[in-house]
Amino acid sequence: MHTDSFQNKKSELQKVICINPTFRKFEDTDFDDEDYEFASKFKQLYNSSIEKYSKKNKLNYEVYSPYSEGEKLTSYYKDLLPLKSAILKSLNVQDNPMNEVESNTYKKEIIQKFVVPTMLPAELAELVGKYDTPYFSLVDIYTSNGKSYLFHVIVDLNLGRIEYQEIKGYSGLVKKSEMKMFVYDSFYLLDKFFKK
Amino acid sequence: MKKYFTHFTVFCSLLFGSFLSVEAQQLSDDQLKVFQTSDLSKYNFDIEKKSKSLVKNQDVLEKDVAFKVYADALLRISSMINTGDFYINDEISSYLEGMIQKIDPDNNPESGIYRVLLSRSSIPNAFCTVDGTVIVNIGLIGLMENESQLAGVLAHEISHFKKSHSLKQVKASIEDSKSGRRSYSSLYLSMKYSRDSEYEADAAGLNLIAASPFDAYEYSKALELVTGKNSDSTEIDLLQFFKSDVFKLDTSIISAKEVKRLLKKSAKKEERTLLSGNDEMFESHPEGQKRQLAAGEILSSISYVKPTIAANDVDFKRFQRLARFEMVKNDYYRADYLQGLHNALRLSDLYPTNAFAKNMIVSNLYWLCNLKSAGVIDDLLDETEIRNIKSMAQLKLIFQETPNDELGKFLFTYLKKLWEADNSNETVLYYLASAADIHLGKETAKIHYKNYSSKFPNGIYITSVNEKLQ
Repeated sequence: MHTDSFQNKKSELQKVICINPTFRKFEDTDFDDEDYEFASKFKQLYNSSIEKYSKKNKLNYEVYSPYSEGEKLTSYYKDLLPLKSAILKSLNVQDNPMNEVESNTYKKEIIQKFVVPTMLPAELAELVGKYDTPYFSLVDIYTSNGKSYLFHVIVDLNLGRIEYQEIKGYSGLVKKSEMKMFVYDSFYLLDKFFKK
Repeated sequence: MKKYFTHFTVFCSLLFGSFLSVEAQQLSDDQLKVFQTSDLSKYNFDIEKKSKSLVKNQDVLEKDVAFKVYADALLRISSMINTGDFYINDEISSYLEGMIQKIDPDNNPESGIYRVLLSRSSIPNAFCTVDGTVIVNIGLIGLMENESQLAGVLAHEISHFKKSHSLKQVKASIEDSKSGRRSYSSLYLSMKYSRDSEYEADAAGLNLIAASPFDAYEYSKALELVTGKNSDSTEIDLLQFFKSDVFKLDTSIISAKEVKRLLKKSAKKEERTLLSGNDEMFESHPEGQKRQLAAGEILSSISYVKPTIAANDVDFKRFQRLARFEMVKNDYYRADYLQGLHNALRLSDLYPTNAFAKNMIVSNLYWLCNLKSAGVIDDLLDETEIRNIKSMAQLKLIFQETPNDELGKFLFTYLKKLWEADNSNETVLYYLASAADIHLGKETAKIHYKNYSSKFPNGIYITSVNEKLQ
């Protein structure tokens, strides 16, 4: 899904700040080795994959996460975490698999454009100057009830809204070998979207 | 506790920068400070290593079970940290850690000090996780009246940890399970403390406070506030707010009978806070009262004498004030607009000349009317907790029952009046234009957007306004 005007904005997407690409599990299951791997080792690989595969598709995603260093790390905790919360919360009010994780009744409808894009507090525009871009992104993988969902969201803080949103379902839990494909595919789709 | 984990959303400190231009005039240098430090180990830790270390210091559960419980809890805390649920390196967490040091000088044997994470939630609550992390909601700081009440709550929560209630309850659940073992994390997340555990934590907490510099007599009052027994300090006068020449609030919507009905319905639905345990608010002898009586008995039995040196409330008062502002910011950013409006109105009552409080009323009111107009307000209203606050119940009923066009009328005239009273406030003008956009049509809205564009060419909403004018 995307806003009307976003398709023409490829040239403006010089830089996109990607906030802590994450794996999250939603089931009430026991912690096991897989969770630990997701929680640490896998995450680092996932972080680096975002930057790598975005560049391969001629997009410049800059990741800020707990694995960043110095000023970037401080900025992550100070500014970007609250922003990520705001975006996640705004996604919460939409009909999407995150809100259906227990009932598993999410129907995949192909809707090309937002009828009413999800709005964010307009006051968040203050971050644009600091990060030198109005575009911020979440690229997260969530798993629930044996399925995985990749959320790829781009927000424009100047306009205070979500401009682009991709939710892709995958039957099964994403393994390390499949993760790269999942991520690459998402950026490939975005690149194709701009070329339409 | 499960609700805590799944509903734990967060937001705010972002606004330090974004509201500086307006709020600086009101708060001067009184902003929630964040320490610049490279030591982020409190927030960025090795789960496996920490879990293994914690297993060594407990003897309640089998080692492998204990490891899974700790690792799961730490994983979830880490997840919450990385979705922005907590403040990072803030001064209130440091203050609370110092307070716990005074309450329990022996401290958490594992880490030397309890780790406090300050969450962005406005719900007045706190709890201590299985590893000794004390999670305190900023809403608790905003609600407590003095330092001793806050200390009482902290003492109660760390007593649950010191008595290993979480681990014991997991053990009991495993042993009782008839249909085979459920997952440990589901046990850990779904359980509430038993009544006995709550009383035990009260007793242990009171003994800690009695030996500390804080006033143990304030414990009962803290209990009353957190359980919503005495919500007077949080009530607001809605009739005054909704008074308008153009809009007439239908007061039958918010009759005493309707409010009571909603309060009762909400109380049953809303989970009890962990502090209140299994309170039943409408029983003839509510559990909360019994606990308060028990607290009095305990203090008598130890011949407790209130400390002669008064607690230093200067820091507390400052943090209480900051917390109240933070609560309003957080509510808005987490789209808890109903609670946000209520807290903003309360903030405005407390600080009548504060521009930030006025702006937050405007923003939250606008979004509530917008959602109502779009026909999607029901979920928001359904999720918002009332917590025995009559004016929250009234506000919910108003937005549920008042027709859309009436609310639109109220919104527009309210904003217009504000703008006419102060035509230097860009937030009011922006939302006036946005309200016109929804309720009066694009042509009327354009007049106000153009006005904004001309008056505030570098305003924070200018990009959004320019797009509307295209």
